[in-house]
Amino acid sequence: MTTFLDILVLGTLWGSIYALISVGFTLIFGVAGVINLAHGAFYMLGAYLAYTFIGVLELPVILSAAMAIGGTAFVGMVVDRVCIKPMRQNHAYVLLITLALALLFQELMYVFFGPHGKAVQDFLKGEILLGNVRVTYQKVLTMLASWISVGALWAFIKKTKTGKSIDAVAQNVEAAVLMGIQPERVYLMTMGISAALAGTAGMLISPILEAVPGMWAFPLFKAFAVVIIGGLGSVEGAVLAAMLLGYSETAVSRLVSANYPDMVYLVAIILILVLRPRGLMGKRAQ
Amino acid sequence: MKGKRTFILAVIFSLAWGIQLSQAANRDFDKADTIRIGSLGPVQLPQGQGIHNAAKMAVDEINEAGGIHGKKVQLFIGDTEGKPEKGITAMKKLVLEDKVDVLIGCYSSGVALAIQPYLSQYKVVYMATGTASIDLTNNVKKDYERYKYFFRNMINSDIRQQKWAAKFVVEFVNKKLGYNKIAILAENAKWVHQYAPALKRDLEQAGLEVVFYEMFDVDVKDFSPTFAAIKGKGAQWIAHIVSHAASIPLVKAWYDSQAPPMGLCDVQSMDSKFWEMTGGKCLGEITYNFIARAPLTEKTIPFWDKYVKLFGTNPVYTTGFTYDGVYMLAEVIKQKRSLKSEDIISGLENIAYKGVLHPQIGFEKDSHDLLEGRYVMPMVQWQEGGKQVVIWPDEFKTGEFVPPPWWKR
Repeated sequence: MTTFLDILVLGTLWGSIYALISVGFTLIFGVAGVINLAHGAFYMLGAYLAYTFIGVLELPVILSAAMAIGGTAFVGMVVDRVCIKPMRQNHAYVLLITLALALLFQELMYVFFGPHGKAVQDFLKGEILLGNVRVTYQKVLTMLASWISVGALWAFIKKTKTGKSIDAVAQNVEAAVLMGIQPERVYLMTMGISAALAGTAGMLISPILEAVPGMWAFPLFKAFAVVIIGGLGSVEGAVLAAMLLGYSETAVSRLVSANYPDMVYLVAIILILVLRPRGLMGKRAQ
Repeated sequence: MKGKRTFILAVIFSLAWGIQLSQAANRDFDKADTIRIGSLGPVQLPQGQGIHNAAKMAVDEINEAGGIHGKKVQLFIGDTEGKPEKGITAMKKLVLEDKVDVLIGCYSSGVALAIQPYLSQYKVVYMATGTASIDLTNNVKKDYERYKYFFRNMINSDIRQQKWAAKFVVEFVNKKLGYNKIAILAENAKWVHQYAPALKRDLEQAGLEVVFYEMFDVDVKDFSPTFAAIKGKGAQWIAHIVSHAASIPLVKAWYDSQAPPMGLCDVQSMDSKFWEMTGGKCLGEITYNFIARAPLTEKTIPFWDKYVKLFGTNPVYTTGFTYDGVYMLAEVIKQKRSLKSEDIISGLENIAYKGVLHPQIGFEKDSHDLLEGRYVMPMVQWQEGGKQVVIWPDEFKTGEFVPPPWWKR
């Protein structure tokens, strides 16, 4: 029973984080056709901003969280305007410039904060007991905040006029233009949302792991795995795949060895590409 | 005709290059203005900073005392970045551009193994002060002529550290605390490949039960499932062996999981900033260190205090070895009045130096590994308020072992 609860709790935690990272990654691809290799850098930025506001400036946690998320969204929008917009239709260019940006952000963190990990204090102290399994409030908060963020994004896209404009551009950009929607504004907003989601994930996970240069690669790989398994461009598929990945990785780590969780997503990617290339919930290519 | 000319030019170039290589070190002592020492280490990591700081401290002291036969000692820094290819580049730069006479330092056995084959090419003596794999000194033993330029005054991991670790677990954890169910959690790195299996074997031979054994990849980020598994196996003590892996997430996961007491070797935890780096979650963690503010020799505490005063931080494990290493090289050069590698090698093979870590440092003649002797690795525990307290062995302890706050015997 304890083993099951371990896998349930930790699997939900990592599934939630993967969902938060991947939803933003797949959203910007679905809307703007951008494969953003700097997505992991936004995750890293969220962690470092949390460290700066909470650990260095000692600001209140809620204010720090808001500033970290807002700051990451702002950087995402600047990146879209300055680096991506001029060559948005050139996929090779976008891949290269976003990879270069990720490496640049890594170097900046290295220069400003050094190579060592930076600890961010838990936002909430304490723990609850589920059977014999201890779950810190930080982990509970991370799960809840992840789900609230993903739920809020879904509600925003489906229920608000602005959100529906994102959906419209994702479905058919020409038709959206005819309806009076300005695609560039939508791309800018989507990039901001995408970066904010990644930044939120980085901010939430930083007290559990650490803020360290080079941390951007791990979420990027996971986001790739999740969107391939879930279906590129599908938010629902990303959430489903993220949870499956979270549970399966944790089960392998708990029952077999900490060395093999990465095998799970690599095998899953290969199986999906061979058996169902469009992913679990992706649309069949026309 | 053209081919013949090209061939002759190639021969001349090769000869010139060969002469340059052999003359890179091995200068004439009497003609040398200064004695040049090259310090290798990753400048961004505490272990590398420790190497360079300790080397500087020793060089400054030697110069203040009049140098070596009146000649000043100059220190040159090479940044290995902790990567083998960067280590080779840094070493070549020190030897070929800075024209150093001897090399010292290095953190990471992988980097030192990459550098080692070049030493005979340049005929330059290298004292490794932060690398633990026994493969390095086994190379000397297997092919003396090729590898004789390599010395290590650090304690090797595969035999000496491992034996010390087994002694700690058996004498302290088992006999004193009464725990007999041990989990071994070791990173999968070069320096641990023989260490971890031998530790398991020794503990089992001593009658202890190793209930969990894992060598994890250094890229693992989340250790929560691992600690859950360790708890599930009923372990009473976690013997961890970590240097290159993500130590901060590991310690945080240990604390958050309220896993059994954890104590053996965590290189990052030897750093006095580790308390701050983990937000205090290393409370209760134990690691051996190679240096502590304890009277390992009469030189240890004065060295410690001066280092703290100069650099504003506690010495990490590489510092003592490097500081002693610079003095040993200086003593041999002074004694031989020579910068020739053959003279330095013979001098080091016969040295008996009283350092800050050992009262009589010397080397095995066939392997150039540190002579077995009175080596001590104090077990240091993080206690309330971020204090580092030596808890074992008894003759050096500065306080008692305190179990982690959540742990009930």
